[in-house]
Amino acid sequence: MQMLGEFKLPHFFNYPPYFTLQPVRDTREKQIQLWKELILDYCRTQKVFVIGLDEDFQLFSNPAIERSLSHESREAFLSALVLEGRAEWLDKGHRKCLILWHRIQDWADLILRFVKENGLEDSVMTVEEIRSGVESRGTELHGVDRTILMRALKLLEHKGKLAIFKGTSADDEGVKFSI
Amino acid sequence: MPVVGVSGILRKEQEMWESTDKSLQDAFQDLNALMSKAKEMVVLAERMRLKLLSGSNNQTSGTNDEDMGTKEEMQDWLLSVGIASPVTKESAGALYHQQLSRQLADFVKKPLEMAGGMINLIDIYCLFNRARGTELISPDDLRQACSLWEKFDTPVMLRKFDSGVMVIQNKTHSDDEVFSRIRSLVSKPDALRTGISASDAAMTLGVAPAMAKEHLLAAEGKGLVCRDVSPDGFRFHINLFPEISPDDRYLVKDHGIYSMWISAISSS
Repeated sequence: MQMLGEFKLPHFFNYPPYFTLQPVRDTREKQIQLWKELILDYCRTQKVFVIGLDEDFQLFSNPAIERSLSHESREAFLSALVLEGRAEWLDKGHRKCLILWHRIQDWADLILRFVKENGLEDSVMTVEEIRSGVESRGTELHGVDRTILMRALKLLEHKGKLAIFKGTSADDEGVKFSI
Repeated sequence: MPVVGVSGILRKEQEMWESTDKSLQDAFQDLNALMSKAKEMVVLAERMRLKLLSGSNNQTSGTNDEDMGTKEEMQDWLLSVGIASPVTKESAGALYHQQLSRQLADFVKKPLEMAGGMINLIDIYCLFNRARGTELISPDDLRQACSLWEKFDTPVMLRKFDSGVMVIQNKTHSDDEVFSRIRSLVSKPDALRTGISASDAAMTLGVAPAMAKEHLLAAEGKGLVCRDVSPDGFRFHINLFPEISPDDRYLVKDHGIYSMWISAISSS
């Protein structure tokens, strides 16, 4: 089986039609479904948070069969993810896409669990510490995309679980948990 | 009369001009005569046209069979010299198109057989007109003649594909038969590895490449094959998408087409 980093590629990754946007509705629906799942799973294992359409994204080409997804196909599959709420366009031109292999709600739950497991219920942390501090190592929070983290934190703030404030240093925000 | 010297030359020139002028005048006399005759012919044709037109308008006013026969002959004759039938061609009853339709149904039998049962309308247009030599028919005449086939018992029919391409095919032609031939073709080990192009299909099916492409597109529409568009060209592979499990993308059933495909690509 072929690998892409630590990700195991399925057999159909070597099937040339998989890389051509299919015109027949039933076939296309199946194709889109397969690509959506592949993208989400690959991004989760490789911790990819943003896909740039004009950049070389390894999952979108297979040199072994000399096939690559066209720009139109990439946009089609990512748009399907956006429609499902598993991705968001970061710009109007649809050139960058934020991948929510965990939904924002899932990230929020992960933050709550992280706080409880580390006994941080009443403490204060910077946003940066949440995603790169010692406590985060070994958890999925480690290295999480800042945009996603802020969205999850804001969701929790809205639920009254924490408060976000401007920190002492000019460029980082802090979080006061009150779980 | 001076015949030498400058004045002689001048006079010779003058004479030449005069004789040229005269022969031109004679020539134009003939043309004038032709023109006046042509004018007469046009008047005659107009008169006949009007007569036929008025004649067809009062069908019930006691015209007997003989008159009808003469009238039809007249129409045919007018058509053959290129004068439009006074009975408008749009009416399905135009004898011209009926006869053309029958003639065409007979003519297409041979080319149809040679083309493997399906032939592009444009190809028939060329073949038919080439065979006629003179009295060529227009594309519109051809289309009308083909559409008349519905009205009487012919073994051939006109068919329009989704792509807009129009073909003539035998009524007995079976799409399913073509599809099963395509399925066998794309299931062969080589085709599993590289897919097939329209030319490959054309050779196996015994039809023109353009026809083969229509068949492949139709097969694609039915979910039998999938397209693969790349710098290598436009190719078709057997459709494996239905074989992939939606719950486990790594699952491969034993003995299915999916596992056959995997074996085929691994052996290269």
